Amino acid sequence: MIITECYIENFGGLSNFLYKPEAGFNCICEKNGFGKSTFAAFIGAMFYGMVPTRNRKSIEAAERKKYKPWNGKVCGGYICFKCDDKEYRMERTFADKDSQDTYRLIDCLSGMDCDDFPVNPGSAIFGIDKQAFMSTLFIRHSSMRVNVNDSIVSRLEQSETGIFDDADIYVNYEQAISDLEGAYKEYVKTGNRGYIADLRKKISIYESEDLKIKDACNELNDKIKKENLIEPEKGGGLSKEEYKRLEWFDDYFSKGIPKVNELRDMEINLSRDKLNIENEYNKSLIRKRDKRRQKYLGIACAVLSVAVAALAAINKISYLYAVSAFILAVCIFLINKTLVAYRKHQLNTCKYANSNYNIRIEQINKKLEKVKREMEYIKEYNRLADKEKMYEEMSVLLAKKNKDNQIASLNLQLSEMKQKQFENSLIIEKLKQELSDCRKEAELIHKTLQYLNEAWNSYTKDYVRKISKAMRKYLKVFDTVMASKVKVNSNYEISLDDHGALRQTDFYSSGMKDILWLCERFSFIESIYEGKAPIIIMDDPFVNFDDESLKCALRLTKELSENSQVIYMTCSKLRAV
Amino acid sequence: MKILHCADIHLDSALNTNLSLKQAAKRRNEILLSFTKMVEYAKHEQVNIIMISGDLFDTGRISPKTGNVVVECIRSNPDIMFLYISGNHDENGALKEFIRGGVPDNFYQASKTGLLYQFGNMRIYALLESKELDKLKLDANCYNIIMYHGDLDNVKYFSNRNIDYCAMGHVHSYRQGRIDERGIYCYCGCLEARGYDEIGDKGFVLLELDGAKGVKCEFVPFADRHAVSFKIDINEKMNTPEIIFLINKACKDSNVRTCDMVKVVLNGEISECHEIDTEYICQYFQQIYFAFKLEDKTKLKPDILSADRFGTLEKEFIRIVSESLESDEDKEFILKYGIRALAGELRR
Repeated sequence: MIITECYIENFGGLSNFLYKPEAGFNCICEKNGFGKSTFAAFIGAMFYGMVPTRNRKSIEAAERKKYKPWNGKVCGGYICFKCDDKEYRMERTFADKDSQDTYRLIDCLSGMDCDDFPVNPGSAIFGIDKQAFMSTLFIRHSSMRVNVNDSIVSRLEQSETGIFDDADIYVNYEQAISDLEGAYKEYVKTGNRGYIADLRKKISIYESEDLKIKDACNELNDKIKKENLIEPEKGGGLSKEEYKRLEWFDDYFSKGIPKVNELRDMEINLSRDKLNIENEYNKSLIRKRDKRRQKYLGIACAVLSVAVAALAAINKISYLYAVSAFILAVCIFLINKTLVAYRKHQLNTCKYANSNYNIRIEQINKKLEKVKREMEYIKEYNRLADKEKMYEEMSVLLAKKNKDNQIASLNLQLSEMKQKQFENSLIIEKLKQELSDCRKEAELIHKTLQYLNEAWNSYTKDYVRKISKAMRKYLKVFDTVMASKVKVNSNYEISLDDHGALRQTDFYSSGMKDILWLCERFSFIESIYEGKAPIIIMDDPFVNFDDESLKCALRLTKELSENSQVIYMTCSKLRAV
Repeated sequence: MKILHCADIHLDSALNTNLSLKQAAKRRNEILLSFTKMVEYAKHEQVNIIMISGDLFDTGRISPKTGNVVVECIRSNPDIMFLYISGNHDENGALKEFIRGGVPDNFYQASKTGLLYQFGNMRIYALLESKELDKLKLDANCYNIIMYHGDLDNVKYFSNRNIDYCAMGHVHSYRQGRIDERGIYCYCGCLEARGYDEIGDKGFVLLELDGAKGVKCEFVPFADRHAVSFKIDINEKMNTPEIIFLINKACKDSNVRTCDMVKVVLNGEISECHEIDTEYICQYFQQIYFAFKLEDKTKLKPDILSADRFGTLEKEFIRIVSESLESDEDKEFILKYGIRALAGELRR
């Protein structure tokens, strides 16, 4: 394909501009402001259209704004070109909106409109999209960098295999990689996100809960053990007074509690002694009375006997009777006197006894009182002791019951905890299993990615090799050392093996970068079009080149123009050919 | 005398492999309930002895609920003698934690090989390891039962030892066979299916010993819920609705109930871009059955490497994966996944 005629009706600052390039090399050397870049942009716009203005903010990116005719007239023009042995005239106008653009393709031979190419015929004619066109055939000093896109790679593939069906292979590969990466990212996302991280977090939460439950279980177990060891506390139930009283009794009976039987015996004995003393005392009283009576009776008998004797003597009844009576009276008197003396002795004895009676009774009474009191004490002491014991037993029972209740309650809590722990452990198991499955799946997806990349590298290595070879060839023209250092990876990224490290183009000076990018462009052009590029537009691309490099670049360009139409524009005669 | 022989109940099994957490919790309760119902059945049928030939629990880790329910079952049925040997899953003495206030009189757990229980001329022995069989001196005049949990690799080893009935555990399906002219062995199987591999009727064996009539041995299907597994052969021309139809038909032909657990294995050779949505099929049947699992064991057609439909990149990918050292299963996944990705299937 070659362009035979370009006419700009209005485009930016250019109006009524006609240019008829020849086949091969064409050079436009004009001063600044002539409109060389505008003309280059016009060619691009004619073949690929202009991007809608609404999507662009800066004037540099907003083509429609930038190239809107300064005279306010209709923007557009025509280009005549030859393609596949046919001549066409393409007429286009550009409005503010792409929908208002006009496009017309005329078959020059018949003069009739034709539809051999769609609205933007660049893709069909050059076999690449606009971005690829800008990265290969359209070389501007302001954007020398090559952006290898799927269109370039597809075109490379197409040029190699000639199979048009495979033209989308790069697109498919890119999409597949993107989809696989998307699928992988569902599992593993940066910033500790994704299924796997979520599962890990969940497991961590449950595990920490599990630890807490274990601690709680241990705590409960300890409590249960402690509860089991605790002896039930005694006491409780007696009043303060009763306690005091009990303590007093404890002191009182510190030497031992007398036996109740003994005290009873003692009481009986004392009572008996008392009774004896009282009896003795009573008897003495009776004896005293009897002594008096006996004394009086003896006297009375003696008197009576004397009287009887006297009477008998007086009445001369019988002296025998009188003597007998007298003797009887004397005997009675003597007997009575003896008896009285005996009684008196007895009475004297009694008198002695009676003289201690009160003291003894008092002593016995005291003893009795003591015995009785002790018995009362014992009774009360026993009562209080029994009461205390009963309360102790009750409190022990109660404490045991409380303890049992407490242990049962703790056991219940422990049981609940263990149940929770059991359920927790099952959840952790399930989550761990899910995590394992997820990891496996993520690993397989990652492997799929790796194998696909490997396949791509293997698949593209021929093209990469081809580009590398072409790169080295073109770079050799500039610098043989640099040519030996250049590396192209499977993503068509260029780097130089410099000072022991692979350095990308950004490490180098503008001139060096421009040389590398120029050679890269030429390499792609050569690989895609096999040395027969349809057209190459060059908008002063060698501004950063030194004299030597400029010469080399121009020589290369000239060489390329032997098989392709080159329209080269420059503002400097030094860079002109 | 009636003896109930059960084994492999696997109480408190995690059941995580095939069931969701919720389903697993429900199924665990069902298995525990089945155990209590079995004891009720034994009570109703005036069973004298329940022999548990191992794996009453799935692990040594027993939940308090399960432990308490089992102990309560034993305590509340003093007329039934529970004889228990531990299996390869449950630990010896795992139940002790839940037996408070002394071991019930009607519970005997074998701690070593030897005589476990004796009634009249019937003797029940626990055999913890098959190599310990020589330790048992069985009286030929008695009715001798051996409780054993394990594989019966060599039946002859058990023969001519005066064994009348070998109450086996470990195999999860009911199986019965002769040891010698005198005795039989019997695997009662598990009480309830836990996974899709435990297909068929599940329950226990009821033995009736009557001196005059001899011995009656009967398998009692007891499980409410069954596990069912099908293999469905598909080809590359079938789509998702057609596969659903096939599964439905297979379930209908086998009288599968909605309460059952169903597993379907898809077999056959398919192409890489076969329209088959396993997730959709799973969701479809999970709405119908208690549990549903779909295992995709379809293989890519063997002509995949030479298929004309593939471009050079796909072919290169297939070649690299095929020549890799990955396992066959992983290769299948990577191939299917990668080719689907290249065909834009993942995006769709």
